[in-house]
Amino acid sequence: MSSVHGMRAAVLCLALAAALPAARGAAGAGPAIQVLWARTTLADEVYHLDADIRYALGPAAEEALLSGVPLTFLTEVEVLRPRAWLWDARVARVVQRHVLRYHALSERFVLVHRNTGARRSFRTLARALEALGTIRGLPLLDRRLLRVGETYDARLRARLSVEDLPGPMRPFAYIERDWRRLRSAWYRWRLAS
Amino acid sequence: MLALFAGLLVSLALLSAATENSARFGRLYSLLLLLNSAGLVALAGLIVASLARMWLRHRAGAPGARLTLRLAATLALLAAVPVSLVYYVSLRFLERGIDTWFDVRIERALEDALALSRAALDLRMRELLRATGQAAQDAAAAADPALVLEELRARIGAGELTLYGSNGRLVATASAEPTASPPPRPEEAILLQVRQGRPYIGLDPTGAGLQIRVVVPVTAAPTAEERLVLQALFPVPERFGELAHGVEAAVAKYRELAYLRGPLKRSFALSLSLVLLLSVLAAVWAAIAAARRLVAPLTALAEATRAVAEGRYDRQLPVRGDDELAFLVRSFNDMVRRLEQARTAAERSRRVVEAQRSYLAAVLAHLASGVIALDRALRVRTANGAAGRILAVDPGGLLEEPFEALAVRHPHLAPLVDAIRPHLAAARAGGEWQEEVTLSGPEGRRILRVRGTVLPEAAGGGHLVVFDDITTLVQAQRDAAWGEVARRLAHEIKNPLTPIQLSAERIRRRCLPELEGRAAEVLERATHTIIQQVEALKGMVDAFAEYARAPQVALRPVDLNRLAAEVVELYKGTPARVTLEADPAAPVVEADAARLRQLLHNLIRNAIEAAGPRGAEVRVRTRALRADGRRLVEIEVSDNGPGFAPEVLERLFEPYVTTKARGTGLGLAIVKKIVEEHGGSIRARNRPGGGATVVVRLPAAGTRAAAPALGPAGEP
Repeated sequence: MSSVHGMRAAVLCLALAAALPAARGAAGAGPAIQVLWARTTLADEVYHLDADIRYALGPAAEEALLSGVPLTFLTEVEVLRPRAWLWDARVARVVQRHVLRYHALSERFVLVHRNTGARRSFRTLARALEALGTIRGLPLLDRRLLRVGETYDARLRARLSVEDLPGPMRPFAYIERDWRRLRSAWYRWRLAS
Repeated sequence: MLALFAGLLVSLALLSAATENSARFGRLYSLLLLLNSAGLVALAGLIVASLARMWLRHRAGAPGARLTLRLAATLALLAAVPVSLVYYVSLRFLERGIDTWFDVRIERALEDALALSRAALDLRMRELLRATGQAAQDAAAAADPALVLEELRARIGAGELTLYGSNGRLVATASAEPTASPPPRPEEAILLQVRQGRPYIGLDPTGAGLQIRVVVPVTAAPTAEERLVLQALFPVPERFGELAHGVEAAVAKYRELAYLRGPLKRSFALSLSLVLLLSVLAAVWAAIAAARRLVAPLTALAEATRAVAEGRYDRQLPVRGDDELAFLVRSFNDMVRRLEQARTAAERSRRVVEAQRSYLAAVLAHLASGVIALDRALRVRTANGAAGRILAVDPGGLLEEPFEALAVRHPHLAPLVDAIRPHLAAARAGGEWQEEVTLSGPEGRRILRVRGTVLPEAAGGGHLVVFDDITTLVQAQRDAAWGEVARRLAHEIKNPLTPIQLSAERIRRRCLPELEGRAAEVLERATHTIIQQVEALKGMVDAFAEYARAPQVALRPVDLNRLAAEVVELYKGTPARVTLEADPAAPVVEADAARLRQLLHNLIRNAIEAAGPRGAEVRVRTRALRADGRRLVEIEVSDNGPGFAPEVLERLFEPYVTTKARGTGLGLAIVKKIVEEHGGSIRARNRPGGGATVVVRLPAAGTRAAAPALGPAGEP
């Protein structure tokens, strides 16, 4: 039993360096996190973000969550200035960090917004994920920081932060499909002027 | 390489710290893992490369490659086996060790504690629900529920009492801390449940502790257009809250740990595997390096030995360290140095010997004396060029021939062999002997002075035979003696001849007129005879004088063909038939024309006299020749007479050697003298078909030097 473990670990370890870049490209059965829609509205010369993101954790992450492992989710928003010949210039970047954990005594799911410290609790995981995926009126950046006449794009993605998992889980979270799925593609749209 | 090792070691140490979930390295864990894996892959690549190189060297049969490979394999195996054993045991130990952290009883106890906490809270929550229900009824009874809210809050001891309208609109709130911000709105699901008439009670985890949330419908005013909802938030007593939090935290931690058991084992195994791989790879690398280090001097030794075997002694190996190998290398260096010295000495002495040999060979080759060395078995060891020339044989063909066989292969050498044989048999070390031998070979008679001695034993023994051709020396002595005789004769005899002649003439002049008859006739005949004989005697003496005279030749270029034609022309009127065969290619010679004319006259006259005046046929022939790289002219005079008597042939050119009834006997002697004055050579022989031939060779103009002796090569 233990030697099987060891062997697997040894194989894994060798595979880690070799397979990591290759494995990343070949994602499995579609992402478990999906940006449904997103848009920016201008109010008082400040861009605000509204978006809906659908989270579906899958059995592995759910088991970890119910076992008391806190899951950290990152919502990354970037404002880009497209350039003709070069890669796009990044004008602004906002990262929202949420920690989701299960409270055993009250049997509730607690969602903590790490940027503000705001804490909400939910009776079901679905509600918590819904709350996590609903972004309303998130101030993004001051319009005055943008040049007039230029066009800007915004893009959004959400993902599980593997580096915030407990150490022993990290290597496997990088290579196991159940965990690698917890990452959305970039959702990109034109910044309304 | 070492840097890679050090980096990997540090990285592994950090990794093990990170695996233990230490706060400091926890964040670096993934990076470290990646770094380590990359390092290991690099290490593995290096090892594979060096193994491949070693294998190729082995395949190519490079010296030491096989040993290196074997040594590396052995060392690597020696290192890998215990490490693998430790790895296996460690893995089992790890598995067991982590499993022992978890105990069903502890888990049960924790779950029980959690249930207990819940039960305790439930009790209190039911009380609070009842009190809040009462408060809701009171509020409903009141005219304006908002006005009694603070009173109700104080009565039931809630931290916060809030009244919500439909759609969750905040109607009124009362708080123990009036400055606090409005309380968080309950979830939609709770509001929905309460509006359906079912009150909600639950625990709310706050940042540090807990609070109890009770939401009840305010039911008393059916007429009211709004259905109100009352929410009461009760703080859990501090002590109770702390305990409950403690239990919750412990359970959460335990559950997390239990969940992490699998990943933890895996990640420990991963770290351990990395360490194992590093150890094994490091061991393999160290083994390869050690094998190389060990084998390098051996390889160098092998190569140097091969070099020595091929005769190159210039190789000195570098000595490293002070171990047995270094001792071996030092000994090898010493050996090679001594070999080199020995070889240099041998080479030097060989060169000395060679120089002496070539010196001796040069001396021998240019020695006018013939030298033949015989070994113990009397085989010819050395024969110089002069020996070949004098004996008229090829000196190369003599080598390794038994001495006795010379007489068989070259019959004309038989007298020499016969003369030497007794000396060889009788000779003792240091004994010398001398002998004079006469050989009659193809070049006529030759007189050799042969000397011999026994070679010292140190030089291999054997005999040394040295011989000189003293034919010409003997001849010259003889000639000189004859010259002296001639001069004396001319002087001593010519003086009294004139008075004798004068006296005879006087007698004749005085006495003849006075006598008559028979007496006058006798006187007349006698004086005539006297005068005539004195004339003849004078001519003879003149010839002697001529022979003895010191040569005074005036050399000029002479066309021999024309000269011969002139001389032959003179014999046109005689009964003898003299013919000339002139070779138009015959070169001009440097000669005294008068002397040459005399030479030709002498030869032709001699031939005619030998053949008898009637029916004599004399043939004169000139011929261009080339011998020893020099141009020569050969004059051959042949007759059809009886030829030379064998006993005369050897001494033909000495004065007064003649077969003829008449003549001074000086003709051929003078011919020889003239030939010698012109640096030529002369030979006489009998022709096989009868008749005699005299051959004279003179050097062509411009190549004046002693004409080479007539040898077999010059035979027509």
